[in-house]
Amino acid sequence: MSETPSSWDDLTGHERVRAVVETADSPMSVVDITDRADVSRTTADDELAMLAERNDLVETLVDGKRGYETNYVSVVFDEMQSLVEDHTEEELTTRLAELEAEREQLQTEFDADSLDEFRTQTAEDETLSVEELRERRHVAASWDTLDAELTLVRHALRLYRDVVDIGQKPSRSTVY
Amino acid sequence: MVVFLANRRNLDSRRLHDRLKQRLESEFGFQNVRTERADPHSPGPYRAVGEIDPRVFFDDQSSPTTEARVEAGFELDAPADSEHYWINWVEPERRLLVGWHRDDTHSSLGPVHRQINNGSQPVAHEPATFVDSHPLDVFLRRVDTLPGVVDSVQSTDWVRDGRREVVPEGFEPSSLPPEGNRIGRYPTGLLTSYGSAGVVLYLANHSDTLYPLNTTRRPRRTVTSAGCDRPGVPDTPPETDLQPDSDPAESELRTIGVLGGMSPASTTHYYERIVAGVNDTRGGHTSAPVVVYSVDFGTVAPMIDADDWDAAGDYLAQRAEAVAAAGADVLLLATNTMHRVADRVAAAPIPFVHIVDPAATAARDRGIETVGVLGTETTMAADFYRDRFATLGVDTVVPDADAREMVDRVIFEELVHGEIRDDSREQYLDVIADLRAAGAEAVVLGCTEIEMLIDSDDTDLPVFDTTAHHVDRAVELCLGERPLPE
Repeated sequence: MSETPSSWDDLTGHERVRAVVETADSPMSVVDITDRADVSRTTADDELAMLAERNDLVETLVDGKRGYETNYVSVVFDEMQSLVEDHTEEELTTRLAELEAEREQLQTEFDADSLDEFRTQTAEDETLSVEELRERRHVAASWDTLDAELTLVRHALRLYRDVVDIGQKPSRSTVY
Repeated sequence: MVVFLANRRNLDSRRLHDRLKQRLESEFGFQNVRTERADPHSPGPYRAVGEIDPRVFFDDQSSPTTEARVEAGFELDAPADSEHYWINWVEPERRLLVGWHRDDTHSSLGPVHRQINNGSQPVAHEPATFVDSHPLDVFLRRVDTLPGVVDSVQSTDWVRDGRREVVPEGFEPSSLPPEGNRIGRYPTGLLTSYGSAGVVLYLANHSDTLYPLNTTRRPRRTVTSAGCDRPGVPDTPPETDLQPDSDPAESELRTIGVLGGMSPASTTHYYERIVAGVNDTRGGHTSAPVVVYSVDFGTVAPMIDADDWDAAGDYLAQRAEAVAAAGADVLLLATNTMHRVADRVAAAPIPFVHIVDPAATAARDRGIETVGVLGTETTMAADFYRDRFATLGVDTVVPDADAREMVDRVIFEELVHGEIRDDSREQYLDVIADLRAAGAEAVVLGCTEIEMLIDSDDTDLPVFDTTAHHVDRAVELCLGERPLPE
């Protein structure tokens, strides 16, 4: 337990900038990032430039003002990279099987082959109560996340094999 | 390889929960931390989970159980104007769950409610203060206040047979657990099975004491001088400080005068930052009007070496008048060291912004009374820096002579040449530790180059970079967000 209160203000300005851009749902102007992170323009500029240099962000224009958006290609590669570095091929294979089993469970429970089909069923079923609709919204969100993870693990597994095939131990420098 | 970008918000969400997981471990000492996908029937995509011994977390050996966990989940794409979340403290042995839920249930209790569960069964709800902030901030504040909230879960008699049901004020009595349901085990015997002399858990109403927060979104910062990455004291200056006395029209900008060249690199830094800062606000092709007089440092440097500050003052005062004559509305001297002759430069017929003032104001606004100063030997040893801070009510401490020599040497032998050395950073951090021991509550970087070596991530003391604050002030003045200094 920390002895001092923990809050936004306990984070460094750089950390606040990172937190803001990592949860932004659309490109943000530097001014908005500065305001939301509650930092000086200089701190925001420094951190944003560093994140852009690292390919985590891409510079763009937001209503004619300089701004940034997440480089999702980089995020995806980072995720795959972590999976490859942190797990053996066997672990990834096992994980893939677990995720597929979970999806089969949902398919069976809701008698739907895919998330799209489940959503269509939900939209067309007029007998569902508010509570049931709420729960189905949760299930749909979870299914979406499950599908995304499945795809990610599949790609990581392929990457793992490709990297091993060319005789290199996976490392950050070989992924890009 | 074909790159897929299925659902970008899933990626954001995963990353956010990984950050929460890291905070649980690093900030609060939780163990076995992990990011899990939420149960399909539960809201939100992920949970950041960490386990801890309540006796350690609460620093209370009388805690009735040794196992607990925090589960925190945020839904970034919630059908609301801010994220939904569920932050729960769970003690499995007691079947106790205490948590804050912001979702589309219990809307009569407001945007956020606190909930107590007996196992999976909710037994009580009450309104909670809405914290309108970034998810990471919400998470940190909630976890930080858990000891007080869990401690407030108390037991009281509940005589079921006699229908005397003790329900805490503000709670929904309809959500009491069904008869025969077991509340849990409590070593003192107070908490026994649910029956004729059972127990109801309740939360004391701490809304006012636990969350004395202004829950409105932070005001847009028109003053950026407080951005030195510091926890603690609210840093938004009084509103009256923010009112410009003459707000330039949208198309009008004040012209910033920069007396620089000492060194040229520092002046370039000023120019670039001022132009970028103004463009960030106005956008388009807007560019700050700036008059730069870059002096010949080869003329000034020998005056410094000869300790001939009068000559240096005369030289710079003449150039300052030239900056004013060129149309500048306000003057900045783009060097810490030469502020030793600031009085001479300030005699120019336009307002002058002393480099210490924005940083000192920021420190003062944060309640900081003493700062440690790092800079060139001239800056650290001379009175002009100390006196200027003192004018604004901030005391200064400086390193001892040996440390000042080291700090000065690193600036001139390494940093001005762009050389960044880890061992020098370590030496600087040792000096900062000594400054803290001498009473410094913050560190002032009184030299442009030092920011190449040290920033706020290197020390848990607040860091005030005078150059950064100086530049920010120039941007505000250019935009008319501040009145011109007298």
